[in-house]
Amino acid sequence: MTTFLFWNLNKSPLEALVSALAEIHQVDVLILAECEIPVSVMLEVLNQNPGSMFHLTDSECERIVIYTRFSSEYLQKQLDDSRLTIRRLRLPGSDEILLSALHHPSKLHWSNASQSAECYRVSSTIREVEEEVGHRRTVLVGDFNMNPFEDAMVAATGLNAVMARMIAARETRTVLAHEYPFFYNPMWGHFGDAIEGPSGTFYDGRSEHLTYFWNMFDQVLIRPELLSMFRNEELRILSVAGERTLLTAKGLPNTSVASDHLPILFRLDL
Amino acid sequence: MSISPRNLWPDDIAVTDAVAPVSLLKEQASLLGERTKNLVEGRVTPGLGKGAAFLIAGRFNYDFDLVAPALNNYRYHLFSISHGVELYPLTISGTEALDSEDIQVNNEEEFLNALKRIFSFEKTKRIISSLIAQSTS
Repeated sequence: MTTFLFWNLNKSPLEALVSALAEIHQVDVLILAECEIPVSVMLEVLNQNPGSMFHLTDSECERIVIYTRFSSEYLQKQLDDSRLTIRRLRLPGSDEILLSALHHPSKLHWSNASQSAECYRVSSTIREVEEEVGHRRTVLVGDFNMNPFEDAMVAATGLNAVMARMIAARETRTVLAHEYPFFYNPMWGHFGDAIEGPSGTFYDGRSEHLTYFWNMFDQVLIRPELLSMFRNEELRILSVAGERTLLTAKGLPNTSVASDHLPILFRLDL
Repeated sequence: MSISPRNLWPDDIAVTDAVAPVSLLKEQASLLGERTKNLVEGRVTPGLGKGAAFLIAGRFNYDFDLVAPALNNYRYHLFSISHGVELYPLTISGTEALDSEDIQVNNEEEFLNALKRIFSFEKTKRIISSLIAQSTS
């Protein structure tokens, strides 16, 4: 079982919390966005845990940094741009998968239309890389700065990310004679307060007419080819790091001790 | 009537306590990472020198490099090894730490001693210190 953790750190010096989460959850692949922690500091803190030996992986992606508990040689870059990195993860004895990580432009600076246009490009890029490597065993994780229900997340030419395994298991759908591969988006199941855990990963309670309060900007999407390796109960939005809470007394992300985003943790049986 | 196959191979044909030199290199590469908290890593790759093939004239060739991930994967070639199918004798090349450019070792003990000399060589230590200093600056 390989454990992945994604967290947008909001440019805060959260190395101690990151290290604690890595240790508590025995994280194998640590994917960070808005991380301004110097590599030397992060490695020092991560590797102070007994038995931990994290490596920085090679990347030209400015917005995403990935550390691995195994040798970085098992995670080779396939494509990097400023906000998207696509890596080939080849663990001994396992089929290769594509691990893609994204930090999509924020709604603070981009219109919904621009976000969507960029999302279509991201989706097209992923499909091209899948074509190059000859398989679609792909995971896409990151801060999408969009909710799972937004057009570009759901549209066939967008990420084509659906809320139900049964639909994703069809593998593709066809629109006007063009075939588009599905992603399964398990984050749908984490909205609201019907299940344990926070109601989203990012809170925005601004005073205007249309406000969702909780948003699910941080997501993991899984291609149907990997569904058998993923169990929904092993996807969690984290709100504590050991005894330290990442939330305020009102249950919202606490930016004074942590980040404005909550981390997400998931496992794949690679 | 069936005839049972006669296996002429000895029972101990697949039993060995020999450790391949490349395994010893990988072990040392990993231990360097532990010492430096992976600011400087050892990397063992097939090949002998830039662009050379892994197998040349029936010999197995490996490079041992120092890599600094935080310095855009800056790579410093420390030495290379080459051996035949029988593991030893083994040739170490491309290092100033030993008495000559190419030296031959005849067994695992001599190989480990040579590695110790390369790793303890002043220039090796200076380069590792320098890579760590630049990674933390």
